[in-house]
Amino acid sequence: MKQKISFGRKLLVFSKHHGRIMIGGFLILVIVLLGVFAPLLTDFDPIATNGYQVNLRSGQEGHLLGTDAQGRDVWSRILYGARTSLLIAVTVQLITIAVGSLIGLVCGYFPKADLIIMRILEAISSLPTILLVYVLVMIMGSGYVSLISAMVIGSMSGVARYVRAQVMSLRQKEFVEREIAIGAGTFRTMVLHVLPHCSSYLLVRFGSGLGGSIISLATLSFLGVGLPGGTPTWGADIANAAGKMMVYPEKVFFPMIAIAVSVYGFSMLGDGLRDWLSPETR
Amino acid sequence: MMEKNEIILQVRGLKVYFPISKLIFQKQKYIKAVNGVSFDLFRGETLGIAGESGCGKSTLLRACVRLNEPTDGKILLDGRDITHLSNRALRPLRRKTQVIFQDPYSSLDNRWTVGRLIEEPMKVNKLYKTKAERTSRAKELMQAVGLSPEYLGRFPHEFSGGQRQRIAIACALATSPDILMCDEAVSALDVSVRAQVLNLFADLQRKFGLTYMFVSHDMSVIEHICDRVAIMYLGRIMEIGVKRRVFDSPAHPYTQALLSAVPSANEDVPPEKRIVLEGDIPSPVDQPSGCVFHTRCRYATERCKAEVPELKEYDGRLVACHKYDENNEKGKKR
Repeated sequence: MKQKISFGRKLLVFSKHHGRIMIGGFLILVIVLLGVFAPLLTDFDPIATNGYQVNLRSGQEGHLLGTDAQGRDVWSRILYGARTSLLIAVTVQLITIAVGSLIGLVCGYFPKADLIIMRILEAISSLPTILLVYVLVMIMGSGYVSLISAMVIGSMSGVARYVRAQVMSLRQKEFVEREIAIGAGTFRTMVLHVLPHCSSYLLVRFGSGLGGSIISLATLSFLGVGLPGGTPTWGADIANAAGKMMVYPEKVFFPMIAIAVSVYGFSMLGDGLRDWLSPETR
Repeated sequence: MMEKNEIILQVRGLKVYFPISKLIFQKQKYIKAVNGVSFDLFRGETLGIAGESGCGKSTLLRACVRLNEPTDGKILLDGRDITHLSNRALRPLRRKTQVIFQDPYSSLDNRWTVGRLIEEPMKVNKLYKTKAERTSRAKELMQAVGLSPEYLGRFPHEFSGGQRQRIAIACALATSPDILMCDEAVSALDVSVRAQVLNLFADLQRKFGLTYMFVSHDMSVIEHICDRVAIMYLGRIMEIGVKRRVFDSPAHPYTQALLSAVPSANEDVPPEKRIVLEGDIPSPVDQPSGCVFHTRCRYATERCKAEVPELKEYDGRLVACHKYDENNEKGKKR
């Protein structure tokens, strides 16, 4: 019965059925590689300004995509911007999933905590993320920590709500009752039986949430909120170039492509994962 | 038949009420799922709990293993009061009573292999030290329920309903329990498979000296497997006694009606002689006064509307009916 099927053949069959995962995965892989090997792909510092080489066109003086209004290499800023974007998006989504499912589990299992926590979450999710970032930056100063925590707070209520609903419906299931009937504690039941049933949703949510995080990061940095000035981010690059858009449209265009490609890649990946892992949530 | 002296589970005046949501100024009302049930379960016997749906038989069973919280009354397991034990204190005792649920499709976590499912109760109760011991025990159990030990690595969805129920039984046996609580354990199975699983239950009882509490709405299943039967109606036991007595000469008017509704292949009960109950089962929220059955009983008197009948000895069984209390002579003539 067990036939040896080569990995390449399996991949071919898989990509036939899950084209979206392959396309999304490919685009994301490109972005990741660009970010990881940024120092090898460019010689220019993304942060140091150069007053003598301002607004160079593509190809001039060895600058592949030219320089911006401060004389920084655009190609290098896009590469390092990929690092920032991916790093923040992945961290935000990981923490969101972890904290969100923890809150969801607690809410689903303990009705009294549920009453209080859900009201707080509802209040938080009615605030715009930008406002949250402003407040946190005011309190903690600008930087990765305040930006990431603000983005997590803004997006975790969806995860928490889903896990809570899952817990509530799974608790009624007989296999969960059986686990209690054999003498297992609440914690064991939650971790071994309830969480695994949320896992495919959480993975899908993680994949598609990354795109959302990149967009909100771009929005925030476009507005100049959160990260210290000069940090290479695509949103900041767009904001920087927007002033002279009529003269140098490509300076706006390049970071936009980067944003578009990565968001498109992540949403393709997320959709593909959803179709593959949890078709029931379609 | 095994000796029937030792009481393994004693239930006294058990009540399980579920509050129903209300508006602010309304009086809090309850669904009285189980309303004052008392019975003894003897070691080694099979007690059947029968009744139509909604009579509280499943709730009664679930309350006995504390999956539903009892509102009032007492549950003694091996002489120990478990009614109000905290969940933590109850956990070591849970291995003695195991539950088999109705639907073998939802009672097994479909993400776990059969082996892991069977070993889980052993792990939770720390019964064996090594993985190898657990696995060999799991293999034994698979054989005991009539499945090949090779299937341990498979997932529940690869099995049929009857096989799944066998797996559920193996899981329940993993902790070497004294009592198996079967909640409609064969109702979801095909008729052809049902008999096999019922016979398996009988085999296992002989092999492991198990005590069964068998909840079913199916009188033929009850008749097949039980030593004693309790007939429930609206959260109360109407009649309880040795199976043959209850089935051959039902005393309570409700039992009579219930048994005469069982379809039978031979023509010993002509259809026109069947007792057909009028009306519906009353709401478990606003229960009738006195005897809960008086609204549908053809022998109902004024006394039945006012006074709740106690379970009393009559003709070798316990019956909760005024008919036999008032005039034993008249009742016996029946």
